[in-house]
Amino acid sequence: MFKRLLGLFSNDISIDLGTANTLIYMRGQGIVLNEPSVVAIRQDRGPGGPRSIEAVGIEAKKMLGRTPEHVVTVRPMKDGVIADFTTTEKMLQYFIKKVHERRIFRPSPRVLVCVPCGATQVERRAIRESAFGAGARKVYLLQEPVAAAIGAGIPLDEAVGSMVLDIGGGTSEVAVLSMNGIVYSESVRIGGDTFDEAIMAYVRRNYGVLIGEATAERIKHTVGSAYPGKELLEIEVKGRNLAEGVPRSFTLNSNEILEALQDPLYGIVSAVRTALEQTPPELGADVAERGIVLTGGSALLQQLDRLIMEETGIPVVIADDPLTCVARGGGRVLEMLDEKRVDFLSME
Amino acid sequence: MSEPRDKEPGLGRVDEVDDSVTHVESLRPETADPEPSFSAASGLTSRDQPAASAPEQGSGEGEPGASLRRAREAAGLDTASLARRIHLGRGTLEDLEANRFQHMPPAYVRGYLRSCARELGVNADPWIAAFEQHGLMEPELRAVATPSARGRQRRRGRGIYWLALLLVLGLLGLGVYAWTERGDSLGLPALNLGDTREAPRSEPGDEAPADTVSSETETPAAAPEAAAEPEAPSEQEAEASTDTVPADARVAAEALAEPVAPPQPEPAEPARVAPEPVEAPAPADTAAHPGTGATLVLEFSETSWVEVRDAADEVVLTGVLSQGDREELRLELPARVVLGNAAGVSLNLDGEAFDLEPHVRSDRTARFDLER
Repeated sequence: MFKRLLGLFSNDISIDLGTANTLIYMRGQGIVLNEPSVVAIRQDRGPGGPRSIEAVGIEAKKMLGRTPEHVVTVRPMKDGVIADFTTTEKMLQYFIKKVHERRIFRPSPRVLVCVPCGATQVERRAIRESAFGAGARKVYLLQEPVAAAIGAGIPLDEAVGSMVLDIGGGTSEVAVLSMNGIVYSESVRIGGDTFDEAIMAYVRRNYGVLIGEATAERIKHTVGSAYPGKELLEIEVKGRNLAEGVPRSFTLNSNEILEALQDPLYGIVSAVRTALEQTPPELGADVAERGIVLTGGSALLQQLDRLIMEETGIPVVIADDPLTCVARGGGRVLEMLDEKRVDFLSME
Repeated sequence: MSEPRDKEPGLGRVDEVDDSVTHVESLRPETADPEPSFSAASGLTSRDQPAASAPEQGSGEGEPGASLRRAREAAGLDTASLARRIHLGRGTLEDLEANRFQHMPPAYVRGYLRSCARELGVNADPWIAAFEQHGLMEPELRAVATPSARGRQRRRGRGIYWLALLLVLGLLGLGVYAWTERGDSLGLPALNLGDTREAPRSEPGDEAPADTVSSETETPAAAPEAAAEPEAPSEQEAEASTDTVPADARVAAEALAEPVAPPQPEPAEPARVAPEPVEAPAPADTAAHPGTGATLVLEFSETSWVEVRDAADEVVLTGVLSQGDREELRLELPARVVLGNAAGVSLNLDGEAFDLEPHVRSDRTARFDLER
């Protein structure tokens, strides 16, 4: 009852609780938060001492790999699900409070959280409990591919097959949807983080230089490509030479990054091929005619659509603002909650 | 891969018109009026547009289709080559160039335009902006059934409810009608004056007196049988009532046996027996109703439903009687009485007040047998 009263002073929100980034869509306001899912935790008086949150989101990410001994930066989400329950709860609490900054009362919104379709019941329960713990009045869970498709503007109510490939930070979800439901879905634990790790491994293996996650991500954003392009891009990178133990500078080009990304990219392409194999023929024909829609932050990797297009022979379309598709899709569902019934979307 | 426009018959005309327009294309100045765009405010999605507006949409002169075609031609590619490069259906590409977007969700159209622009080495933003001018609406989030189908389902659902209601009402009406008709057919007189021939039928053992009468009239030879047959019922009656009032039973058995035993019934015999139970006030009636005939007087201080059946199970009185009504009945006992509002009725049986109290139920009704 008290929570319901507090709900009058809160705006309902849709959360894309991603491995790399957390996005919040607020009802009637659009995307109001897009911050890295990173938490910096301070631990005073040595191991076993009291712990406190030092920073969350952008501030915490700036500290990633640059923290003193008593501060650790944590990414509480791993592979699209909660790896550290308490930290996730604190992070969500911080984000919810941040988007309700000017409110006098403690926010108690209805929260829609998008979860990977491969998440187990235990993982879903953890996400739900975490949202409740962060102050949510009511929690809805919606599968990410459905939210991504809605956010991308794919008509779901038709008896026509549509394929969505949502490549996030920790997982890639491929799903075939028709008539407001998922016909086939598969989740592979490959995403933007895997790309970063692959770049780090490549640089260590070929240059004998150790680079951090942040550097690997910068390389990916700058010269990363999934398919050979017409021009060769280069970037100068600094890292610690493993043999000499001192920082060294070297140059990487887009072809090298393409080589580095081969394994994770092959994993994603394999998942798409499997999905096409498993899709009923009628829906497969629809997908072949319309194409595959790419969403998620990693869909911004250069030429990724080209790679999938060439590998599958099917047109590939990158959704508008792919990074926010899931949060926007969840937001659209949230906006319909009071207007009309959305039980046709099989929310939990 | 089949072309999307083949799926929608309404678009077939577009192709024909489009071809004709292509011939006059060169005659038109480049600054020809842009094609009318869909009005989102009209409440129609692109799929709802009437077929008549399709030729204007498919004029091929508007943006971004024209720019796309020019860029393709400048790159020296035909539609088939470009479509193959971006793995798009040729028909889809032709639809894009002809600005036929009706059958394509906007999200896909923007993606196709971006793919084409990248392949042709041009900036896709102006094409996207031009496409947005067409005002095609983003797909709505809704249940699978179309609104009209949902409406039909709702109407059908309502129809079923109405039908069920009508059926129930009809059955109720039929029941009431049948009940009242049954009452009429049985005759609902306040007084059912039975004739003397029916008197024996009211005696216990219905079959025996009838047989007796028929044997009297038709087959005199069967008289011994007829005389013998009543023995059984009279004995049964005597045995049945022995437990309670053996003395009365014996008298009753004699009284019952006597009128039937002789082949020619003598009126004096019943008359001699009848006065026993019936009091003096109605000597004439006593002759008419020999045996267990009684006078029942019902007085109503409140409105009540009432039904009285005599020993032959025939309705003597039924209906709703109002306050102040008084009914006097002559009937054979035992009789069955049902009162709807027992508290509002007082009974008098042969001049004596009948105590209803033991028979009144919690719902104010009373059902009981009247016996002497």
